[in-house]
Amino acid sequence: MKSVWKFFTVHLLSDARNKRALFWSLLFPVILLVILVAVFSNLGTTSSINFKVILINEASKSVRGTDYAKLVVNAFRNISYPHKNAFFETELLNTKDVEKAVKEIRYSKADVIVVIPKDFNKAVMRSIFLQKLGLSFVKAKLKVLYLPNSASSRLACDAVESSINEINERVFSPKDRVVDFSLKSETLGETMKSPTYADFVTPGITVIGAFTTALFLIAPKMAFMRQRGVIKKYFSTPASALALFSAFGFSKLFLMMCQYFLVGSISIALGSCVHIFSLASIIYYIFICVVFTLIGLDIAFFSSTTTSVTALTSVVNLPMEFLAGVYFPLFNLPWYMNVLVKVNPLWYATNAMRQFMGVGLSPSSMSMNMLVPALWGGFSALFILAMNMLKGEWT
Amino acid sequence: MKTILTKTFLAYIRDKRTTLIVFLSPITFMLILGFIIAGISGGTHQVSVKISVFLSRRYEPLKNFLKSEGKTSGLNFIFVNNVSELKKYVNDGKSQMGISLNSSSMLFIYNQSFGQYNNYLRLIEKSIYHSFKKFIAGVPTYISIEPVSVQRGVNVTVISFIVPGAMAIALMTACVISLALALSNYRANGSLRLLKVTPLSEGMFVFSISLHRLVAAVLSSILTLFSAEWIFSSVYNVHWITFLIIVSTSMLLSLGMGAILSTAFRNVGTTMNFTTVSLTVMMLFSNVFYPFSIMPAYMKFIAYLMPITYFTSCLRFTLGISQMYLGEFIKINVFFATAGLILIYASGKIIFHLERR
Repeated sequence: MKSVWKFFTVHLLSDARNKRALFWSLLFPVILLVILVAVFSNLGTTSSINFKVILINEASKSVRGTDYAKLVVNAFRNISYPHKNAFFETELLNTKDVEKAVKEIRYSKADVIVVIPKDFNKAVMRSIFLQKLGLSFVKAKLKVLYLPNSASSRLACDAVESSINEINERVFSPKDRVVDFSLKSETLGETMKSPTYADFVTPGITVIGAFTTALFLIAPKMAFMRQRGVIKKYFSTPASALALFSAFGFSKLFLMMCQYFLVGSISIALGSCVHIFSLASIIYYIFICVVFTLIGLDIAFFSSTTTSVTALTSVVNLPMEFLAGVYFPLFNLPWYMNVLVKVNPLWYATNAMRQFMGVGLSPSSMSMNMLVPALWGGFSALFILAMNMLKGEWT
Repeated sequence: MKTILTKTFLAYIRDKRTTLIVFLSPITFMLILGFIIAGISGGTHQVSVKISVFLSRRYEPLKNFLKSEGKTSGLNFIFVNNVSELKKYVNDGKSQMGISLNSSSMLFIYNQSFGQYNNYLRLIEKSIYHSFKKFIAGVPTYISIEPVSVQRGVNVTVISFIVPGAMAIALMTACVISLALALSNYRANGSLRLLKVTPLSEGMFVFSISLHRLVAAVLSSILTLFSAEWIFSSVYNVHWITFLIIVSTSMLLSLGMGAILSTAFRNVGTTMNFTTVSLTVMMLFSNVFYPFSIMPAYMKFIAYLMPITYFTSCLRFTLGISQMYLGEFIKINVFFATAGLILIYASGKIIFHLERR
């Protein structure tokens, strides 16, 4: 027990002096959290949307009655900047500038072009007249030019359609025909009322933080100790292998716990309401830290030098992080990518941490959230033991 | 010159780690990012959103209306038999959103695990709601839209549009890390101090290390492109000369960035830490994952400062999937090449100057 404590303090002091250790265990998750919250918090919200629309009014002026083309132009102006709650930036071009406008779309300088055709006023008046007579009519059409493979252009096209629907409803609908139809929304798996992006991302960052600590701190350090013969020197002392490895593991676990509370506190400072003191989340976090530590040790025992550890961890890290669903939601993936997601312990750990921290229900079952990381941990432990039997480093 | 190039080349090809970073990581990264972003876009061929719908018996005639609406608006409606089936579809990610319609209300169902993607879905919620409301009320539609798709370059699928962005990130990351790591290692193991006493020019040394990496990165970009074409069944109308120019200039800039980062810190680990954080910022703030139109103003400003944004636009242009003014293309390339060369030269000077102390 005494040797465990000694080894523990030695490793902890060594980490405290090591800038790299402090960076990966404490600073990196905090930086990542702050960047993600800064980037994604306002993304896609109504206040941040700004579609560039080019409006071309080719319609001849209405001699008698309402100028419907002008009505459409004004409606677009009202939902364009600098008006409040605007989501369009509308530019009105002359009829001669159609070619120029198409070029703007092609060169991604604008999202959509709305063309009001020459006979627009006549067409609207004809439709209203025929409809009043109870006869069938052809709708007046606005041409909307868009790029089918651009998400931005596609969204802008939908937004234009929605605006036209509103014009139809507000301008032409008799009041008695408007139905009172309520709009409701429900978010499946939501346990926290209106979670912010900071709430959503914090559990994932705690998982990523523990994982990067295992890959970029535990793996290189153990590889360094092996390469420089430090482990062999330790075993020339009366200290046991169990004492050395448990102390090494506990010192890293201590750092990971500091990281957990630091990330949680910063997240709360950023406006999040995650339950960082929930007992279930702390216990599960310790469990995944043990699993990730074993994975880190696996890499250290698999590679012969610290250099190859760095290369291996760089290749392993990003794919596993992206397939954990922390940064982007994962759906519509081909089956072989789904297989990679379903064997990724980070995905299960993120799901479980979201549930335990009170953000939302886990889309995967809790038994799987325990089983898959446990299998990774078990196989990693077996691999380390097998490597030792082959190389006999501890004996 | 010849000697230093041969020596650094031999050192380079013996370095398995760099080979792994330059050749393997761009392909792996491009594949994963490609599939994830294509998934968010609703498919590999067209931008679409899968919506599962449950209609109560009263509204069954709406099916045909929805089908015709879906064709023009990029919404893919999947009809289910009850609300629990609808929730299962949304929960399992088989559809991105669910709609349940009964006599008095319309319920939109989202999945919490989709996070910020739900913001994107809420944008189309209003549009669907108005269409339904109008149809149910029997309000005559006097004005409608006629969507006309504008073709640009070859007929591209969603995945072929995404791949250049993923490629740009993967290649730039590989180049920055590769040179930062190499120079930091030379610095840490004392090689630079030894080279200082030789008549070797500082700029020439860093340039020779960069040159091998530049050639490898260009080869890697061709390999990544072929892998993308093969795996995603995409066909690009590649303009090879401009493609090689933009890959070379942007890789030069990336190498320059890697070189200057290596001068900032003495320790390899610290350099790698700083490089990782810088690349994460560049990646997240670029317009590769999300279009400019849904970004807040401050994010747009930062995105315009990121080289990845311009590299991606130029790559799309050279692959024949989007257009760009030739003047703009030339300006970007001249800037990338000049900035890259200046950074490489300056970092050579700085890194050797630091060894004097």
